[in-house]
Amino acid sequence: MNRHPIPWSALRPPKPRPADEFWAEFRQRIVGVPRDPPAAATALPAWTAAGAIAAAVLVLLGLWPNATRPAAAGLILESLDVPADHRGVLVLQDAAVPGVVVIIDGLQAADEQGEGGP
Amino acid sequence: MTRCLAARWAVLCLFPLAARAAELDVRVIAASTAGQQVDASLRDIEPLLRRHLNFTSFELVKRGTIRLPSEGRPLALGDVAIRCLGGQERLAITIEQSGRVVVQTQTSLRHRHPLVFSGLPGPRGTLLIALLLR
Repeated sequence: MNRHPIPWSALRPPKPRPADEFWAEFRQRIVGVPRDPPAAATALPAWTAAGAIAAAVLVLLGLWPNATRPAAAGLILESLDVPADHRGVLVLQDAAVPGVVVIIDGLQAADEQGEGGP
Repeated sequence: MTRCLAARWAVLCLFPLAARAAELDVRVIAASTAGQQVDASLRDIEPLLRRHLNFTSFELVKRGTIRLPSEGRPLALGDVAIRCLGGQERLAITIEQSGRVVVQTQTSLRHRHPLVFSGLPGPRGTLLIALLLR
């Protein structure tokens, strides 16, 4: 069995390089090394997403009666009756200005209404 | 932390329900074609008045509030009385003047959508009744 003696010089630790030289070489090498793109934004924790979804569902449920009615877009007159004597009624509504105007034409004061009657 | 979040969710979820308790703002307005004056308290409904009515002057005469839902207690504003029954989704409104019923209507009100009745006789011309959900 042949034994090859290891030279003493190989067992000694290498002589440390000057720090400036080491880091200068390091910076030169790092320039050409491709690096991974930045990681995508981390997703929200599962409990936060679940909470947000649950809140959205509950809010929608709370608003449901309003949202399902066709009147959600505006005011609706479901019935209109003018028992006092009058000539006519005009209901005005358009999309330009929100709201409804009801014009009662020919409505007389209460004391005038009885005049001329039996 | 968890308790705080739960409280926030609860407030968020209950807000639409709480919002349904509303007030009905009732204004009696004297309208005429004399002058160009519009009361400062009518600015919010002035575009509607100007668009559909040919009056040029609008003066606030009386103002009151009805809390909704209402059980029919009348709100007296001068010789005009307003009676509401129900909530904003289905509200029956009766307008009386000098003790006689002038208008009866059933409506579903919306915020920022005024309901205006015009043509009631007044001492200085025409009276308007403006209803607005608050």
